[in-house]
Amino acid sequence: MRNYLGRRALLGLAQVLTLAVAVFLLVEALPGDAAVALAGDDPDPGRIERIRASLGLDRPILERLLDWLTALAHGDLGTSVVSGRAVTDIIGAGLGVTATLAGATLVLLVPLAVGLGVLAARRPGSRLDRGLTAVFIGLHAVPEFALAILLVAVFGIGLGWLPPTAVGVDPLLDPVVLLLPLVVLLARPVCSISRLVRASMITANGAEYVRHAHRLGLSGRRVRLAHALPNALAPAATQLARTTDWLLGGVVVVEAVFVLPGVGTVLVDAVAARDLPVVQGLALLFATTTVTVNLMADALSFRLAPRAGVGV
Amino acid sequence: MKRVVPLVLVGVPLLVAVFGPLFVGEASRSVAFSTGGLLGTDFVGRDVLQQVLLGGRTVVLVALVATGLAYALGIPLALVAATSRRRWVDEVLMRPLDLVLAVPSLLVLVLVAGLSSPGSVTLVGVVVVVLVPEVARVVRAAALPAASGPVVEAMRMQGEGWWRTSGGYVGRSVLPTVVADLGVRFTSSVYLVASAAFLGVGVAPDASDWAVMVDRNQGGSYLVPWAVVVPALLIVSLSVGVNLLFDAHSTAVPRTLPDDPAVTPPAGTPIPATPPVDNPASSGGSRQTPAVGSIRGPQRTDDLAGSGLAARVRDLRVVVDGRPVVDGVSFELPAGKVLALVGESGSGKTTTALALLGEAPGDVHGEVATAGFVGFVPQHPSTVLNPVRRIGGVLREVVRARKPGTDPGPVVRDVLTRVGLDPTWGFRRRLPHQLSGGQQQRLVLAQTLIGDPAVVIADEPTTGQDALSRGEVAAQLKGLADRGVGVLLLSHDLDLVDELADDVLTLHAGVPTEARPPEPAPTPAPKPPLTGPTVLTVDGLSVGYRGNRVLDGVSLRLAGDECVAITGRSGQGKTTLARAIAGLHRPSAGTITVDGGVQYVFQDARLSFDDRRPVLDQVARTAVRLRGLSTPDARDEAAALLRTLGLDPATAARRPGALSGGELRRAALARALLARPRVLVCDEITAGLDARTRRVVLDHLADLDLALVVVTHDEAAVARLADRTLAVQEGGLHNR
Repeated sequence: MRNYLGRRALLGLAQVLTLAVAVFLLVEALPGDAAVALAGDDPDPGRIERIRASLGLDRPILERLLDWLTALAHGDLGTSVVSGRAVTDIIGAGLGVTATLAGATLVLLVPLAVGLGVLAARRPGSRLDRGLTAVFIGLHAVPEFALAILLVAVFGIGLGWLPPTAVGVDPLLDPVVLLLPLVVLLARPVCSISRLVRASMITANGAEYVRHAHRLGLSGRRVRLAHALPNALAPAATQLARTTDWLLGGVVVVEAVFVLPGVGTVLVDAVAARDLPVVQGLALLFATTTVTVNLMADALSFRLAPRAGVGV
Repeated sequence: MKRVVPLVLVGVPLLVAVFGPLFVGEASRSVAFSTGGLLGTDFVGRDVLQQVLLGGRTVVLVALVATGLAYALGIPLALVAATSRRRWVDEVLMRPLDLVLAVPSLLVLVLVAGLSSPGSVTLVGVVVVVLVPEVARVVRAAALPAASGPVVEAMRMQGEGWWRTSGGYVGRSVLPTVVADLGVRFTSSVYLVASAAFLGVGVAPDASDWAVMVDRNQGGSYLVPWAVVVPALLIVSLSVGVNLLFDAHSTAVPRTLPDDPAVTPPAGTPIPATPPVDNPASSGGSRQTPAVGSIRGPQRTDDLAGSGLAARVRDLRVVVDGRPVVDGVSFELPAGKVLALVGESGSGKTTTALALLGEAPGDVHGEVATAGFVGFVPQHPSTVLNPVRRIGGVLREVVRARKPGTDPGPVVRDVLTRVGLDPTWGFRRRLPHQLSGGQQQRLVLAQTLIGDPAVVIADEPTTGQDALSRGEVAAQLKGLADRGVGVLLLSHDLDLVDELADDVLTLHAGVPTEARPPEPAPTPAPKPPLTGPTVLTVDGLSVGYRGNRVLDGVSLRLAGDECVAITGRSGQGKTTLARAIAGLHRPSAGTITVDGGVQYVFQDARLSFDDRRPVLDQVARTAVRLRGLSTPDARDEAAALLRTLGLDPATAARRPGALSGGELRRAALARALLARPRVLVCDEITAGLDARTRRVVLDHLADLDLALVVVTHDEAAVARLADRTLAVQEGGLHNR
């Protein structure tokens, strides 16, 4: 097991590095650069050249890539070419809101999704099951921005119960503005994980080992929760890792709708301004998060599906 | 109703998207966010209704094209990756895709879209980049079991090419997955297109697009709420409807299959199939096997109190689909005795045992009574052991359930010792897959013993076990009976029955008969040693799985008409050796030289047939591919060969699902023989066959003029066929 995880961690590190380089090259290929963006209303070629030289953008691309990687090894992500602030500061400023949102979503997500899935699987085909399944399927397809807009229209504008956006509030001091974003972020992952849990619970409930556990005289509740459920969790654990991907994407959208000053907003602004160091820093952050979560999910699945063996 | 809702949900936005542009009329501009017109005006003063009518095309078109493209690229990619026998091909194709998957899809959207100017082509490209890795991954995962499975191996042995094996068989086996996946993929395509447009990726900032409208008109949502609500609702309606529609379709596929006969609840009058009281999961389930709750065993145990009986069955009749599976079975099982139920496969042994457990399928009539808890040790103990639970934990759980109030620790250690397992903490911490087959069997026995069973049912306890383990099993069962448990033994193994049983009940087609099943033919005198030209040379063969060396420096020579039997305990590498000789497993060192063709008969014949094609066709392909016969000629020859093996060609013209295990075993043999091989490798060819079929198969094999390698536990088969016997032990091959 330790061997396996070690190898997976190395692979993850390689993934993050490859990704960092790929993002560097991609952003490099974007039409226009920071110098053009900075020149703003005065696109005089001479001025652009001067800005470019002052930013070091006229040096060969490989040289800049190497510089960036060396700095990275020292924990330095560089400085924003637009504002001149350190990239770590810029990202750090947005991280609080995003981490609060994502953390709260994950904490609520797991019990909610597993509970609903187990509930639906108790009596497959019952009215409760059909109702829950229809909601899982339907809600899962709704894009976050559309759900967010509709919720804002109903609860923010129509009924006036909740603030429609976070304009002018510090979300960390006044967390009620995070309520609607949280609901939006939870909607899709809850549906996808509940459906998986439900399906694998039904499979597990029909398995020979579950029937055997009943024969041995264990109570129905124990069999369900201690024998069927552990087997039903492996696919859900993998899905949970994919959810983190959505969460990061959803965060971008939700932050745009609710005007939250989080990492997603920083990303959209940075891409628009061609702020290469900031985009790279964020890509690195997102990639590291995704790879770490995947690694944890793999470790969990390894324990939950011991027969699948190593290296599958 | 179920169909109507999704259709309306999809239909409305689709109609607006397709026909909306026809009704737009003349473009007009007025003040931004005014309430003029039906829905007001948007952020630059355009009429919202006109924008709604125009704005659906991009979402629908882009999503459709992108999904189509993603499949067109993803499926071939996945099939090549899954079916390639060179590992690096898989790596080269899949690793970069994994990399894309490791990036949040919206990050990909933002970055890739920045590369080119806004427009539908960019949007399609972005969505395809996100979707292809997902499609490829799903399809590859679905293809892998088929691609590395015995059917493909069998087809390769028949000389089939890539198109038939990978394109044909594997491609078709992923089809249900693709159909089920289609809805998910199209939904996520709609989702991606809309979300991208909302973020301003791949579209012009003032484009007529529902998602762009939602984004741009947000600032005026107090003044003109419809300008955001209507397009948002249309997008929601489209994506929800599509998902519901496809989901209804994909779940409808399994629903059309005939229901498991076991679903019908037991309805016999006096039969004590206890209603599943504490197990609501089984009562409402439509596709579950029921009666899992009847764990307390049949009722009316009082009847047997003081009678000295462990179980009594009177006039048992079980009807499944109008056909009696068991008819008129009666027996009494005294406590402390062993009763053997014997008979060919399908004779009703297992159904009788299930009736004792209260789990018989179909309609049950007659009377079943037991003196208490009934323990069941199934033929394949691994299926009843929970793969993710440590064995000690489960044992403690059973103690707490059956003997509330007692300290579980000593009971668990005691029961493990009784069945001959290691009671130490280290062993109790193991997971079931870390146990050998024999240990798993004893563990299941230990679990049932905690409940102090009155009856223990042992289903084929010696199948696939070598002579040594067989002896241990026999001793275990004997010990059970000595402790006063009634043992019901279900077995083909007549030696075991003779050794253990106090009484024997023979079933034939569900009806008790007096006669014992036919004994295997008397063993003929050993043949004289043969000295022909060598056709098979194995030299210094080593084979390993992931660093574990299974075979180490094995050498073997086989003459043209010689038969060698390979024996040895389970897990020592017999099958690995057989597969290596057949060319199905690449050696890590050493050489295998075969003079002429080699063929292989799989241990599990059923798994080696494509269940969608008639068996006869599959058998005949060997002669077409390897001997260049025309299809009709090949089929005639296959039919003739099957007939000599006692298998009616009319039966073989059906699909594998309609044939029994024994019939398929013979078909697999015929499939191999049609190649006219010089060397034939058979893996456990007699396991699970009834006595008559076994004799036919052995007779045929004995008459063949080829070099034969027989891997088997079956001592009678060894005696009948083998010129010499070798045993695989600790990676080496030894004379016996």
